[in-house]
Parts: sequence; structure tokens; C-alpha cells
Amino acid sequence: MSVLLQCRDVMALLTEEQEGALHGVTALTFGIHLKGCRPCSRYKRQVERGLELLAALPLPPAASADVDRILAVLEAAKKG
Amino acid sequence: MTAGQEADDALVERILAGDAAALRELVTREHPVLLRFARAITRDPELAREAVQDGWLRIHRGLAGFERRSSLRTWMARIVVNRAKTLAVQAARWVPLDADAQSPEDTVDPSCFNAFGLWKLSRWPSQWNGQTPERLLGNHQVCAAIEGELERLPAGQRAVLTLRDLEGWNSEEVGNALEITESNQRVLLHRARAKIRAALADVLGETGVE
Repeated sequence: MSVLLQCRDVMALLTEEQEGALHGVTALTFGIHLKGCRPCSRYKRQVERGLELLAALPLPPAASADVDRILAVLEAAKKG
Repeated sequence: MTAGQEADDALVERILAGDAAALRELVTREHPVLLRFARAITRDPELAREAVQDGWLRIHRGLAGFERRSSLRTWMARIVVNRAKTLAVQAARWVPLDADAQSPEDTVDPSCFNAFGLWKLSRWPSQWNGQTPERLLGNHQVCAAIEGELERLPAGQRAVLTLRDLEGWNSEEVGNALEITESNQRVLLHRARAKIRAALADVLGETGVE
């Protein structure tokens, strides 16, 4: 990979950068590329948006039958 | 100590004092989260249910010894993740979660780039104008698409994404729990995050230049 990163390289390194695993010249050129490249920065924002949404999705609540079953198991274990 | 930790501490104290309503509150609140962990590890709903049930037994027995070095949820999750792994091994369903990390996989279609490695104008990611998180969360198609994609992710990608991005574990914690190196975690995360984005793009539009 040359010192100058192309979009294809930046896409491949995206998670490395998000995880703080890029260093030195690569980190520097990554940042410069992203600042000046609309499609790459847009892609990065979309990845982040996807994660935000995923994290914000409510989990289905526990079924009361499941809760009752777990509590019964715990009660039985306490007695047994 | 955060307000959440204080509330958890109070809940733990009530449970240790024999308050049945407090135990019900904890099980009701945390069971879906623990089930999500277990399913991410085992990829088998029955095995996951068993792992969580066994996990609850261990949690209940160990609650008095909870040392508060992590959040209550993280402590409980570790117990369930370990139990899920053990059960998967016993059922011979355990495959190393980073087994596919070394195989090549493009996260962006190579045809999106020209010979110089730059985005083709016709393949730029579209802008998703006006799609605020709040608005997207109200869109059932969007929610179904990304939930469905999470379900379809290969085991390793799903497990790492769940623990890192949904539960906020750090790479060391995930490495210890899942026996996946940091570099392989990054590979799995990279692929998983790209797939979640692609699922969103399938609904909102993949390409388009303003």
C-alpha cells in the first residue's frame, strides 16, 4: 500500500481506524483522505448510523413464562 | 458511582435480603439481554435458553460475592457467555468464533471503485437526507432489516458485534471471553459493521450522487 491512500484502502482500514489501531503515516493519511473525500466520509457516517440504530433498538421484553420458569428454578435450587 | 450502578447495588441488596420482587425485577430486566449474549455464542435457541437458565443459577448463587469491579450486567454476561461456550463445546457445536477471520471477504463491492481505487461516481454511497436516528427508529422496515441482518451474521461476527458495539465491552474483555485476538476481532467487526450498513442501505438506497 502506498503512502497515499485511495478510497479502496480507506474502506479496508475503516475499522482499524475506529478501533485506534492505525498509527504513524497511515493514521495521518487516513485522516487527510477522509477529510477530503465525500463518499468515504459518507460511508463511514452510514456505518456509524447503522450501529447507533442497532444499539437503540429495544430488545423484546422477557416473556412472563420465561421469567416464571427462571424464578421457579432458582426457588427450587434454594430449597434443594 | 453512576445512578445506574447505585440502583443496581440497591437491587442486589434487596435480593440478598430475600426480596422476591427484586429478584423478579432483575430477571425480567436482564433475561432478554442475557439471552441475546447466549444466542450470539451458541447460535442455537435451545442451547441458549439452557445456558441462560444455568447462568441464572450461577448468578443467584454468586450474587453475594459480586465485587462490583464491573457493572452488574457485565458480571452476569461473563457468567452466561462462559456457560454458553461450555455448553456449545459439550454439544460439539463449538467452532472457534474467528475461524473465518482469515478468509478474504470484501466489505465494499470491488466494482464500486475505478482502476485507481477511487469511488466511481455512480457508486457513491447515497446521502440518506433527513434520516435522523429518531425517524429511522420509527421506520419498521429499517428496524426489521438491521435486526434481520444481525440474526444472519456468522457466529463470530455476531458475537463480537454484540459484545463490542451493543454492550460496550472492550477488546480485552471480548478477547478473554471469546478467545479471539484483537486483530481478528477487528476483522470480524469490520465485516459485521459493513453488513449492518448494507442492510440499512438496502432500505434507504445504496447509491446516488447529489
